[in-house]
Amino acid sequence: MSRPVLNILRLCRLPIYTQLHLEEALLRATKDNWLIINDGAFNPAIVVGISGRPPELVQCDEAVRYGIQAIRRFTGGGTVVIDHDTLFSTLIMQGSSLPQVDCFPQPIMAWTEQLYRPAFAAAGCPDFALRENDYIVAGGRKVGGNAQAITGRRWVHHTSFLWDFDPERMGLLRQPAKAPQYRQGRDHLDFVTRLRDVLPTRGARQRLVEGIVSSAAALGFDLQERTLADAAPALRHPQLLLGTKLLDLRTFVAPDGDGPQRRTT
Amino acid sequence: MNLLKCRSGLRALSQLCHSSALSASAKSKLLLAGVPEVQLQESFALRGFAQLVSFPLAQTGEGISECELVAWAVKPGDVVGPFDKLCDVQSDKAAIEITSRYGGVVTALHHHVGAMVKVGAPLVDIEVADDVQVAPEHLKAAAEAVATPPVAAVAPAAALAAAAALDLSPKACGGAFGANSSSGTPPSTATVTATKIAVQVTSAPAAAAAMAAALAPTPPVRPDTPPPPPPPTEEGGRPQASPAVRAFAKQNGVVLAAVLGTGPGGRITRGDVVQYLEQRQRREAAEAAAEGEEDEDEEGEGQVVLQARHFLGPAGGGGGGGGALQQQQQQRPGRGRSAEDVLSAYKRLSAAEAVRGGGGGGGEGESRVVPLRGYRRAMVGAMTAAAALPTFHLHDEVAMDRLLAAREVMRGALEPGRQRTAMGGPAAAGAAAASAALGGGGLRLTVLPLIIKALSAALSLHPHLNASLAASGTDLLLHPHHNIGVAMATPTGLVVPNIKQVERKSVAAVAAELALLQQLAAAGRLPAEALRGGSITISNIGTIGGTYATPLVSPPEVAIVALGRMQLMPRYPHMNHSPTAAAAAAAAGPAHRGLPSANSSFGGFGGTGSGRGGWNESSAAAASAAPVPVSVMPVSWGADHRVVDGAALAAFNNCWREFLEQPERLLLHLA
Repeated sequence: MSRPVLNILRLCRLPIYTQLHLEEALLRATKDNWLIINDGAFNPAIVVGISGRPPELVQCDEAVRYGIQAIRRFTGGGTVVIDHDTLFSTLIMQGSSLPQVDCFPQPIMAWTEQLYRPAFAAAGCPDFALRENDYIVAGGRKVGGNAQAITGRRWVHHTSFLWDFDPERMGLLRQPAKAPQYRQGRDHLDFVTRLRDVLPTRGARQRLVEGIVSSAAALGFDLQERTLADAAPALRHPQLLLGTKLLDLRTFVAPDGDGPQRRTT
Repeated sequence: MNLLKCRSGLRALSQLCHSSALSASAKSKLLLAGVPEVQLQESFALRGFAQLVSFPLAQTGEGISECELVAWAVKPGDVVGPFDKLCDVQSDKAAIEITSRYGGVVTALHHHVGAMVKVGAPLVDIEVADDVQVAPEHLKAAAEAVATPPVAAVAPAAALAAAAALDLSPKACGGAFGANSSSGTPPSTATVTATKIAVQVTSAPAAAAAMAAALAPTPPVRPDTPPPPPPPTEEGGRPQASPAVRAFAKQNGVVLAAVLGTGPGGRITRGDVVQYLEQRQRREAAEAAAEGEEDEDEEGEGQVVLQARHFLGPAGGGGGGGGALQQQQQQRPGRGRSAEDVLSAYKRLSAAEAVRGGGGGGGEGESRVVPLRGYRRAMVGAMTAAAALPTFHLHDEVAMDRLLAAREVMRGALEPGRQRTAMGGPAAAGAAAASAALGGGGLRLTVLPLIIKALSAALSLHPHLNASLAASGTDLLLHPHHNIGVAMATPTGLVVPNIKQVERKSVAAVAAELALLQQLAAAGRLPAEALRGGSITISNIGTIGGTYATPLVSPPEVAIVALGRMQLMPRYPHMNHSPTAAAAAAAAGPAHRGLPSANSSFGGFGGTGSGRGGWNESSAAAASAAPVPVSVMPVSWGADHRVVDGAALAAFNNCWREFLEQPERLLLHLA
């Protein structure tokens, strides 16, 4: 009945490219469990999933004109645009640490609901729930983007919570072809919500971060606070089949400057 | 592997090649299939490769009916082992790595990158060895027959032997001719083979000639063989291998560039290095060992069974020596070997052990890294601190019979079902409260709460042991509360939560709190305040085992007691000097035998105050008495000698022991 160890890494304003690199290294090169919380990325970026095709997901020419960084991450899922107002929470887990959770997408996601719901409650939002692979709050509004990678008996599940977002940057994304049912044809701004509107009290952002950590402790882990120095050695491990890559959106822009047929978001 | 042993098989093969009874593609598959080290290391009953598996996309979770294929990790012709990565797929938000269940050769990929693959649809075709267990639903419906019936018995055996032989050659030539030997054309490989074999088998020219003759015809019938994977190089010209394999190679003095890689993408696996080592060892042994008869011990007609032991050279035997016969012949001249012989035999033994250790496919032989976390890590620091203070020890034994009897009485009061309905009023209420405190009944009262309460009673009389040395080093802080720590072994390490203010608590309350702490410790959920503020520690190591110990005091406490395993031991009863007391002792029930009577003072032969009799009388009386069984619990004290001296500790121990051996004394301390 030993308690599995969960290494806690609290970060702030780490560039998302660095964070994704680190996460992939920790997933592939170590056998430890990690909870990484990055309170805000350093610079804005568009992050597409492992199999995302940028022309379908991003207004490439506008993004190139805007000058925003584009990254392909090593996990599945859709496209997000992130910045200093995005709260990142990542779980890297060895399957044997959670024997009651099968190493498949749905069971993992269902388990993460148990982690985030108390955290949101502690920060002031009592109706956090999981619906169709998304985290939602009152009114069926999406509060975070999720993605996973599963290799053997080890998985990563990371979430980007939009504390706030810039509508102009959000407009650089296209509407994905597949929408969850509960979206019900809603406009994007009616479909996602800013966390700052959901948790309006002062200090709620910090309380949410603390809440996630406490929630992990309550789920039966032995928490160990770590620093970047503890995590970084994983990056030195050779032969990490890296899915994290920088994208050059210019390669997806038609030579005459006109992007592919645009769809209103 | 003994090439010579396959001579008969190879002869058969050469005949078959001429008859072209085997299809070209079948031969190519056989030859390729000889490559994976996984199969070579296992013992083989050769039946050939006959199974084609269509490996499907497995269920990736409920509700997921299809996945997008993101990237392939293999291509046709690649050799995969079980659990090797085949591809990455994506289902909605999850990127999932799909690994192979079977080991074999990939023959076909069913989807291109970007395709949507339905769960259960075939993903890849893999050709696996016949003796691999394959789930029936995975077998491809129209299996390509590898060997037609007439040649079933002989050909597969021979073919695989040939495959093994030829497999050996690229590696052998890899060793001798460097990384670029296989430029890709089979004929050059075969040519190199023949040369190499000629070099290797110095003592059996006839066999070598036969082998070369047998091998010569094969190239023409393998025109479509994809070349064996060339030793892989990265841009820097460095062979591709994992750090563990590199370390293993370095340990054994193997240059990676000389090893042929059979892993995915031509990576060098540990087995490849092992293979290289085997050959090198055999080469050295063949050169060093005396000539042995090449006994062709054919086991059965037309069936050459290659066992793993043929590949792993026996310690004293010659290179590739097949079977015991050769071994014996090698060792016959063994008596009276020179020191050099002995030395080279030892070297072969070490090499064989290294090979065997690797061939088992098990551990690396390196130390396993276990990070120290949580309580274990804390113990490193705590014990380093504890070792800094001067600890001395005192050992004693306690007769526990009366305490055990008292416990039975208490249990009768506390446990449900044993509670007498006749009890009424405050007694029943108290007992009910106590049993409720013990988790609603069903919790057995152990002897530890009694020991803890007795310790507290003793501390009330000896407060200097419930103390700490002040930081100044010149003052002693006497703590008012007896926060008695109880050491507990949890799977994550040693923890010592303490029961607060035992001086104020009843035995039942102590038992209840102890049970709670034990459950929390086992679950790893001890709150910090339970671990803080202890003033003395008990370690009941006896429940695990051991008698006497030398426990280390944990600062800032000054004392610790370890309780060893209670055992029934024969002890002579303490005789009172007066015969009447002796008679009384003898007449008393078994529970009271062997214990100091109420009149005796501390330890040993403590006098009764009666002047009558003397040494001789009591010993005479003792001599006539028989030993009686006593439940003896050994106790070991540790104390900080800066604060506690031997006399003080001994006095304290006696006081505590009296409470344990005469529990009725505790009644005097009922507050």
